[in-house]
Amino acid sequence: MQLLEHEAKELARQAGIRTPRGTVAATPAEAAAAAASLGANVAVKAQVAGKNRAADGGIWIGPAPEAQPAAAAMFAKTVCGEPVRSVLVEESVATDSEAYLGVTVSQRHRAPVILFGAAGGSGIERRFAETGTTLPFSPSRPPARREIEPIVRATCGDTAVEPLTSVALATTRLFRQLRAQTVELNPLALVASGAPVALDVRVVPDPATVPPDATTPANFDFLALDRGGTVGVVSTGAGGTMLLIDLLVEHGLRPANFCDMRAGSARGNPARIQLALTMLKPFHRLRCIAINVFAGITDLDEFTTLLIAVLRDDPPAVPVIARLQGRRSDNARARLRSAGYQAVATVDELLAACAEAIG
Amino acid sequence: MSLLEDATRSAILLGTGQAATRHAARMLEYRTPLVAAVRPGGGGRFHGLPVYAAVAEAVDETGATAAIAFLPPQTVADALADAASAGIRLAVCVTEGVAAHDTLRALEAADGTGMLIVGPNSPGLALPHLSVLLGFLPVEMTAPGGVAILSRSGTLSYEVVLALAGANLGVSAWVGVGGDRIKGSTFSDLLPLVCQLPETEQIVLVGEVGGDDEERVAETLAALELPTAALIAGRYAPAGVAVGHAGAIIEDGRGMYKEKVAALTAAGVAVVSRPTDIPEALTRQRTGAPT
Repeated sequence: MQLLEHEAKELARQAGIRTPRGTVAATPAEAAAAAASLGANVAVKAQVAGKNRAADGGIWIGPAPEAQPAAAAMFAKTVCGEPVRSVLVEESVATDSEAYLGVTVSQRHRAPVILFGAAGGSGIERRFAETGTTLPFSPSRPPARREIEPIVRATCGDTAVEPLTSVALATTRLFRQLRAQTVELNPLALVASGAPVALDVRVVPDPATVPPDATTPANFDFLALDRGGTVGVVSTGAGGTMLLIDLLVEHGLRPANFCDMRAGSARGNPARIQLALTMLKPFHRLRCIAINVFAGITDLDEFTTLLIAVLRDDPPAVPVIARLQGRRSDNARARLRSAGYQAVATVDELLAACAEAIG
Repeated sequence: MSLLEDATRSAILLGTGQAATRHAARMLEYRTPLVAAVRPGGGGRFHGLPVYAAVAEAVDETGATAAIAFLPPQTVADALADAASAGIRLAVCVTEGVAAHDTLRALEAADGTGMLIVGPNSPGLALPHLSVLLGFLPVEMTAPGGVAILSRSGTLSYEVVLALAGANLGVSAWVGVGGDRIKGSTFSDLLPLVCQLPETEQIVLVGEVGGDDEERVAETLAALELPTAALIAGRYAPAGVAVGHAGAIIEDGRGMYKEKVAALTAAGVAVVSRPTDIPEALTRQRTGAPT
């Protein structure tokens, strides 16, 4: 998950990184007004989070008078799976050459790294492998100008070393300030006059630094997978949930969602179970709900009490099958059955019961 | 001797809050050699353990070489760095939601002194033959035996251990490497350490999509010649999204299921699709029966 381009560019500007002049527009009329003062040619760019907007018609460059119809067309479509709610209208920048600059937390290096590529734009992974340089640095101390200059020279030659190094320093500062997973300037354009211009800026925050949604409790993960899904999934444990989804797919059943409700820390609060079931309500093709809890040290007695109360309070429209395993699970299953719900011990039984419910 | 055996002879608790309270009794019941706890201000006792104000003090007084951290994401990285400076050799971190920038600082400190970090976001580490439980793994499900389990998922490792128990297979080492993108130790780091435990005869890997932990350990496994089975979750996970675990994300076409399976299979590992298939896969590996 990443910030929208215009948000990322605002942060970049605050960090002293140059971006094209531009304005965000929420309607075609606003786009026309924005284009009027940006020069002969403008870019209209869909503000959606996605890696290849151009492929979906999310990037348009042309004469300023045509910005309004271009924006109108963009508002009518989805780009990278998202409806377009705003566009960024920017001056079209004349560039001498383009580079790639990224600062990211590298899993491979177990360190933050600066990535410098002599060619920017799409298909960057392939181009970077051919033309790029990586500079790992200490998480406690950002690299100094004299450490960055050599890789700039090695990658882009001797022209514009000073301005490119300055942009790299500014980008690294921004990356560290945001504690981001990635800050990427791609393409970074070298222009005839002035500092290099970041034609696109991508900021990927670290999910651990993003506060939980006001409407969603912490420690609750829900991801819609298939609006036409037939099996609603309410599970606990990310890996166990992923595997349940894999097995449902392999059995020709359609899991509607991923949901890890972290039953282990419910502590007497039914809110998470209720939330999971509520979030399944918009999935209109559900034929059953599969609940999967493997209790390592979770108190299954407490969980079962909460579950029965939640199901009685707001009965789901479709059959519920619960797979409960682990400590005192036979007792938990017995209680659930006495309350009139299906309870099984193994994932295989859960899959079979779902298949039967779907018919 | 394995670092796992050597370092865990004497361990300290970092943090005495809610999480530590929940799990300390179980670790002590398992007869884990816990010798002290650390919390700001120190003083008094925690589950009978002396409480020190700083990890350096705790290490000076007790000679402890392992630590289990039950601290919040905002403070745990600094605590791990302090533990490294104090001479701790193995630290297990259960904390979820640690910012990667903080994990990287902790790793830098740990690398500087040679401390091994397991986690963050790990359910823990258990060594049944040595009565060591650092974390909250449900060790009651298992018994000392010959299978070493390295897992990116807590819950899936529970499923595997249950399946092994059903086949009368016990555990020599049970290690949760955690679900984060940046991990203190990966499969490649831990495999040699669990293999150094004299009881280890078989290996089980529980992996996920995202990252390259599985691909990187494949080569070592090929050279190992111990019966090895693996389970990889997330085959049908959508690309580009972290599914539950921050580390379970297919980024730019990398970290996909089929590549992991290919790498492990090429290394002679039996890759299965469900935990209940693990015992039979290990048997086939042991007896050399065709798969």
